[in-house]
Amino acid sequence: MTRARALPRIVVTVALLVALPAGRSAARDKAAGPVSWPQQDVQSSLSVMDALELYELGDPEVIKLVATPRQIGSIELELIKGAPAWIKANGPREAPRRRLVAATFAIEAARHGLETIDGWRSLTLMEWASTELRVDRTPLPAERFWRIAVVAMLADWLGQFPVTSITAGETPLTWFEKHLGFSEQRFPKDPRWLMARAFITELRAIQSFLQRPLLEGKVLIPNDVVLLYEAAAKTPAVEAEANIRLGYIWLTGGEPDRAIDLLTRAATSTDENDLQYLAHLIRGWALTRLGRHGDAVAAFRRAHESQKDGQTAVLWLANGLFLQGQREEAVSLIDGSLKSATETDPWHVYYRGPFRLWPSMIQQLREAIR
Amino acid sequence: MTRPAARIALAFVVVIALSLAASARTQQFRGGVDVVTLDVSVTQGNVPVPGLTSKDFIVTDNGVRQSVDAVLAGALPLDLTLAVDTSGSVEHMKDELKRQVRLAAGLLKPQDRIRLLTFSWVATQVFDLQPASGDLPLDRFTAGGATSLNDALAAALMRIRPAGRGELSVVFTDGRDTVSSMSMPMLEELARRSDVPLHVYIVRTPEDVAEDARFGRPDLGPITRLAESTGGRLDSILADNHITVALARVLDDYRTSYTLRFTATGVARTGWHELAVKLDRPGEFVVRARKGYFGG
Repeated sequence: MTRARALPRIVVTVALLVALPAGRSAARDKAAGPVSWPQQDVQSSLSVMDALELYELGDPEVIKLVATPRQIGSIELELIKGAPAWIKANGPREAPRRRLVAATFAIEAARHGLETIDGWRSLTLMEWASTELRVDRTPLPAERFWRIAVVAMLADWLGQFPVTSITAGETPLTWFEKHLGFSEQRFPKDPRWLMARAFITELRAIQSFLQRPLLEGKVLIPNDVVLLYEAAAKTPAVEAEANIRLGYIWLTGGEPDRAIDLLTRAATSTDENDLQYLAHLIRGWALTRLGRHGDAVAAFRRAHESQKDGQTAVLWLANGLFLQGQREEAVSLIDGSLKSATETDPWHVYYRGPFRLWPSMIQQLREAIR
Repeated sequence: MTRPAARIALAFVVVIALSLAASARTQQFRGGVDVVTLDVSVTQGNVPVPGLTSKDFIVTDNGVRQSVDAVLAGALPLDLTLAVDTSGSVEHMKDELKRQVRLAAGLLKPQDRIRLLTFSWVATQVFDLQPASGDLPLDRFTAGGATSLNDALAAALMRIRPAGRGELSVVFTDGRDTVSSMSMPMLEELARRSDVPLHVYIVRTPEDVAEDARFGRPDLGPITRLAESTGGRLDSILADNHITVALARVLDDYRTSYTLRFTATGVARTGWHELAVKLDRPGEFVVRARKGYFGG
């Protein structure tokens, strides 16, 4: 973060520290003392426990102040040292919620840490948080968001890097398995865990989503993955998503007809825009593969209508129109997309599977822990 | 002013206006439906051949000779699209690339226009077509992320060339596509329907060159054929003032080439039209032009 971008954050941080109730936090004592605080490097003067306090008060951006310059390992050490007392400080009734605050703080910090060379330390930080949460025998309902968020974060890491990345004795994959095991114990029969297992099996089988043949050629259908997604598709909560992933597998396996059936079913069984987008987009590719170009254009148009920011659908819609001689509309669509381009295309996170759930899970967690 | 003097003045104005209009017409083409435009580069021993006129070109459309109008491409105002790969590998060069874009714009003529696209995860228009002489708004120029090269090439090819203007797209990339959904066969289909010459420069650092020597060069065959099918070309260049240097080459080539236009006659209107361009004069010439177009 640049100094200029950090300044508004410093103002908010100082304001929040001053606003803390008397005697509630060591953070306030530190803030009240040296008035020269904004002139110092606020990142190095803010302790992890100060940041946790501010985080609880509703400033999620404070994570960046402690997670960026520090080694992620020192965050873990400070939490191990300071968090147990902090969790108990407001009495036993508040402790489960504060545990969830600390655990959420930990995974938000861990996510920043995953992008550094010390990424493996993020895993041990998550493990610390998971252990803390399991102190309470009955989980808070919001802990489910935390567990899905961890699945999302690990899927992101695994999707971007080879599954064989070795950490300190464990791979992200083994930690993923371990996390799923705990999640199944805490929230039995939640379909998200089955979807997560299916995704990780898919990732192992496919390795590279981006080199799969969309329009020509075919690759082997991973049967174990198909069985897992078929099982997941029986649960309405994840039916659409499971069918989309199955549709993609059948398309790249050279069976576009089968893909179209599943994707049509997916599109009609969800009202979630991102899933509608993916269902219509992949259905458009399957129709293109069958030479049904008019239907493909209609599918790409539906995808575009579901998620206006998705450039992949615009590109394929414009491409279909251009090839059909409707050049004016094609160029107008492309120009519009180039002018308003954002990086919020659901296709771009498809290969990271459950990662698409990260923003909504973190948002729900932040609201639940206040 | 007396009445005879006013008449003389009026006649003078009319004569001037007519002669200006006639002069403007010499830079224009005959009108007509299904007008086909193609840029043709003619060289002899790597040297552009100057002074060619309509009579020097033999153009066949599906084997049927056509009557063409030819002008020097440099006489037409140009619309240039620069598309720059701004994926993570060039993040550290962002300011340098901006500087180069500004310098490159200085190579254009006052009547020319420039547009800038960048591509990483997505393709982004940094600024729309505008005179190169103005301040270039480069605020949207960012870098970082993956490389959607094929998708960006598709976006660059989907253009409609305005009548009476030249059009070029010049793409700078390391040639490594990591996230595109568009495949090369789809791009080839698109290129057959596009009337924009596409030039691609593969930007290599000294480290890339050393890596090539050890592991072999990446296969640039498909992208080379793609560029050539539009009448453009692919070339490699070292990453050092590469935008400016490459654009100077492209513009030199373009300004000494010819823009040909004809109204297709004696052929079916729809479907693929194979184009062949030759010179009706003795000697060994290298003629580069797009290979055909889709009609109807």
